[in-house]
Amino acid sequence: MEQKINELKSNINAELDKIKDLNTLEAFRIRYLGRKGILNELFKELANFPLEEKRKLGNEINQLKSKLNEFLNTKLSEFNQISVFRIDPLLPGRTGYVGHRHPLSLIQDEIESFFENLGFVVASGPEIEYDWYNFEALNIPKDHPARDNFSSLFITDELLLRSHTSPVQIRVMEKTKPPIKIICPGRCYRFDPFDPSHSPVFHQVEVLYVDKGVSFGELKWLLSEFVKQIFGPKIRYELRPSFFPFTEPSGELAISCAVCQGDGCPVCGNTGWLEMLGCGMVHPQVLKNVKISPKVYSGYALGMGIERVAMIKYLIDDIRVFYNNDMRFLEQF
Amino acid sequence: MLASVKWLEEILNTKLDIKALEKVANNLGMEIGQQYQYCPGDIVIGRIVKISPHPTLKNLNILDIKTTTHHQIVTSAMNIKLDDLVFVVASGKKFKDKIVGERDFNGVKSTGMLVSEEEMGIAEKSTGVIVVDRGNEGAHFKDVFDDLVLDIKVNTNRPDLLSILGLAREFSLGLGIKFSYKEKNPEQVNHNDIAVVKIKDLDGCPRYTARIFEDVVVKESPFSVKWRLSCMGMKGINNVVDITNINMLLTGQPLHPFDLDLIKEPIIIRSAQKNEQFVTLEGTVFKLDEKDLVIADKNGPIALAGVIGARCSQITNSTRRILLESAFFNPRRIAHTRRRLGIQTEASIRFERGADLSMVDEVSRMTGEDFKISAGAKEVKFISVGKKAKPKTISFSRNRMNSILSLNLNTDEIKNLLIKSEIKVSGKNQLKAIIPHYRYDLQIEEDIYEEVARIYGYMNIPDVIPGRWAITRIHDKSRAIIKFLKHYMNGMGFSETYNLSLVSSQRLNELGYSEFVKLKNPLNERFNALRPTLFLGLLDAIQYNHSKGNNSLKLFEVGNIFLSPGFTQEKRLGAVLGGELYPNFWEKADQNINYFDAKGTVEMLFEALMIKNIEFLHHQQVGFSQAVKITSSDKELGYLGIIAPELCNREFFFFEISIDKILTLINEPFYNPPPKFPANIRDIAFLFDDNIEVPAVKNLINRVAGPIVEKVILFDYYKGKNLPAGKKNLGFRLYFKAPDRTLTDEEVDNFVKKIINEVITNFGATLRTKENN
Repeated sequence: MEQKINELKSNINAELDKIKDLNTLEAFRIRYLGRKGILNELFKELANFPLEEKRKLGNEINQLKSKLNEFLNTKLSEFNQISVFRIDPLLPGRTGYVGHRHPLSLIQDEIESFFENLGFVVASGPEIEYDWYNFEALNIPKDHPARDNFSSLFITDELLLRSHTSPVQIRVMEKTKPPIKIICPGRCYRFDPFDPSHSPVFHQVEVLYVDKGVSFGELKWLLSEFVKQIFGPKIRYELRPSFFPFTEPSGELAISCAVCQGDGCPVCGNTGWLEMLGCGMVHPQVLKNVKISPKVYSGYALGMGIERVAMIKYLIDDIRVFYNNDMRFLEQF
Repeated sequence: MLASVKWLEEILNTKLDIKALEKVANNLGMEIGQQYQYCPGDIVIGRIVKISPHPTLKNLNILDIKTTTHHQIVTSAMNIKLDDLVFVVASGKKFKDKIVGERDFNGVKSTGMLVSEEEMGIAEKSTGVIVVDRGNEGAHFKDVFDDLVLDIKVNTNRPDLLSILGLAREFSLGLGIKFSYKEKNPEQVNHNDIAVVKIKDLDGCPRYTARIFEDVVVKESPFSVKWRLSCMGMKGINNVVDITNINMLLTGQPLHPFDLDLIKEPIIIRSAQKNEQFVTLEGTVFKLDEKDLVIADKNGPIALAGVIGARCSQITNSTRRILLESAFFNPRRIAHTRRRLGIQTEASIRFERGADLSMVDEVSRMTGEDFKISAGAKEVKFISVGKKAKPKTISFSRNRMNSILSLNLNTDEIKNLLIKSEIKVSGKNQLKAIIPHYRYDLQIEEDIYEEVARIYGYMNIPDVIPGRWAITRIHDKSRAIIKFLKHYMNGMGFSETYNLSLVSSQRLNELGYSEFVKLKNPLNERFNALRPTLFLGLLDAIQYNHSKGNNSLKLFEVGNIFLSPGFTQEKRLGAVLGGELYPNFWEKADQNINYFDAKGTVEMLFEALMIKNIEFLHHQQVGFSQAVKITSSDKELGYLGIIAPELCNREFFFFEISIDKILTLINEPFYNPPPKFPANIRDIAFLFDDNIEVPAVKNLINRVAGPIVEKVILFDYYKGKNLPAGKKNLGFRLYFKAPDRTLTDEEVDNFVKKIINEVITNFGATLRTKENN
């Protein structure tokens, strides 16, 4: 028996050198220390020996067993360590491209969801528009001086690129009975140069609510919630009288200049205020034009430039950056 | 409208605080924009007490000028005499940011300068110096003339605010001060004389008055008049014209003086004849149409009514007899002419917004008085014809007003508010408002609501949370798809771009587009057409980024394009990609985005949209070195291609898909239980001639095997070494499946055999391997 143990020891020594990885280590463990391993077999054989010898040999096998266990554990942690540290886990990962949203898209979404949460439905219309929808139906007849505020790009005498999103109002009101509660975002065009403060192509959002009993106070509430939502609860705003042929009374919303906080700076032309949007109660003539009785229904409408909101919100001073698509710009959104 | 604060203060008889004025302007719907301070320097008024010729230099005089002290100034100005007041800038003082120095004229010291109109900026050239008609010796310029001029933006429906009186009246309302300027507004009486004036077009000219003067002396206006005109943005011309301009600025009523000796009476107000010629004061020639309104005599038009006078009848220094026109013209007709001919004048701005019919006669009378005083004129006749102004009333409902404005005002409160605007209200529930003659903008009931709200203060109206709910039914499934596409493209690493929809027709021609929507009045050549594709904008975006050193890009745009026949618009998705596959990774594998990355993006996009049966077909597209059409059951959805190197010197790919067209292909998902029986998978590889194309082989396999083959995947493609030239190896993996049982190997073997035979006979292929997976 003793000889058997010594033989085993030298076998073990020879096999130990062959352990190179976790697999060979595991095979080795099963062979010697497994439930049916060599050492357990030796213990079984011991049963036939006298007590004295049993104790002595048993001790020896136990010592061998714990030595092996110790060895295995050291090897095991050694191998495990190698497998973890084979790569540098702090190197950057393999990233591809991250797609960024365009700021105008972001602002449009923000505006849309504000109004959608209040029950407004998104509507759209064509960018090539009839003079009727763009002007006449909105109470801007031919030779009306207000047409100068909408210097337009024409395709034929009667077709033009819409100069605002208000024609969508008319298109929806023609086809739908009140209540009408819509928001119409879209692309508009003007006869303007492409310079830091103008673009011949720009975007607007039009909002319209026609129902029984719609009032100016409701419009005021909506505006106050809207500016707080978009610019934060601390924003100061003023609703001022204005003129649009398609609303009466008409108003214009100005907010405190985001750059100077109202102290006056070049951005706000030293007034401390920035014009944000135009609004008002739908002009009775506009309702008549779409065969909605102004005696029964009233409504409010408002319109704003998406670029303008984005420029105020993100302090952008050149409208052209929206259309250059410089990645260094897009990456910021 | 430019407004001199000094003038406003004269009318209102009080000092104005500009900060308070700004606030009031905002609350009433005006905006004070730029402010100009006119004070060119440290100027003092001096009196010439002695003039003596320079002892040695000809054409120079030595002046002794008294301000608070005495100045000796040498001058070449000849327009001065003893006791004239002049503007002096003493040496050592500033003029236009420069220090005036002492000068020596052949031993005679000159200790300052006299100011000319040219130096003051009110004339382009002047020979003499300014002789001052106001102020005393020793007074400072800034105390007498210095003026702050405000550029006030007024709404286009308020022509009354295009006058100093109107502005003063509006500011007095806002500031709560009494407007004590008493305007006379006598009743209009008609004095007909068809030998002098005939209105043939009453629609164009509801009222016309002509006041006739003799013995007029036309000369330069005094400095104070020229200065005021200059502050108000106009130029001094002569005393007659200047008086009409000053009165127009004061009252808002444009006036026009004609040299009566240069016209043949009677003057006729009529529509122009088609192609009638008209020569303006400046000498520009216009061709007229029947909607233009002219003032004419026997020989033709002497003025384009309400816009501009003709050269043939203008006031000159030799004018002795004058016909002063004061009239009311139809705003639409003036707007038509102004817009068509592109001539905007101070008169046309006012007439097209609507002048004050009731003031036509009165302003003529006032101006006549001024002519008598300043031009020695003798009034000989007054002719007035046409419509007379009538007081205007608007009736309105108190309850409706309160409900629209979210207010609860009683009749007295309404009366007290509106009287501030000089609107008199009577009645109890149904109210009647008498509108002041100058308020052209107040026409309907709602205009009165606005006036009430304006005086009440927009910000004082309560915020009301609506107590009702409303639903508008608009079903637009495109919105959800567009949102999905945008998010999907973002997720695939594409950044969103916005590009102008206006492009250059020349570039479109170069790209092979011959039909597209062109603009009638383009801004310039760069923006004279509407884009028929998203390609140009995205190409520009690539180039812009390349020029900034961003060479690896994935960009997209969702936007409308326009098609020429029918002027229709179509929503499209366009994308470009190119550059490194992993631009930020440290392990450089030199992997670039290739054609198959682009095509894979398209394929995945359709898979994400659950659109099946997408086919790619060979396609030629100008601007692309290779391209394929993207189709679904013969419907063209878009294309994909490699951008030609002439357009982009790096390898970039572009694809464009019509969103409107794919909308019709999207169906609601429907549920299919997952298959219960496993697929039997086989790999077959063939050697093909190089011209055999994968879709053709796949189609054949599908046709031969029928529904038992669930899908066919190309898993191997090889060409090159170890293969004969002109040959390629294609390996297909076939998934066999039956819905109701597990297929046996024998069954599948039979199909495989059939497929192999068909492929070999149809494509002349050779079988390479066959494997069971």
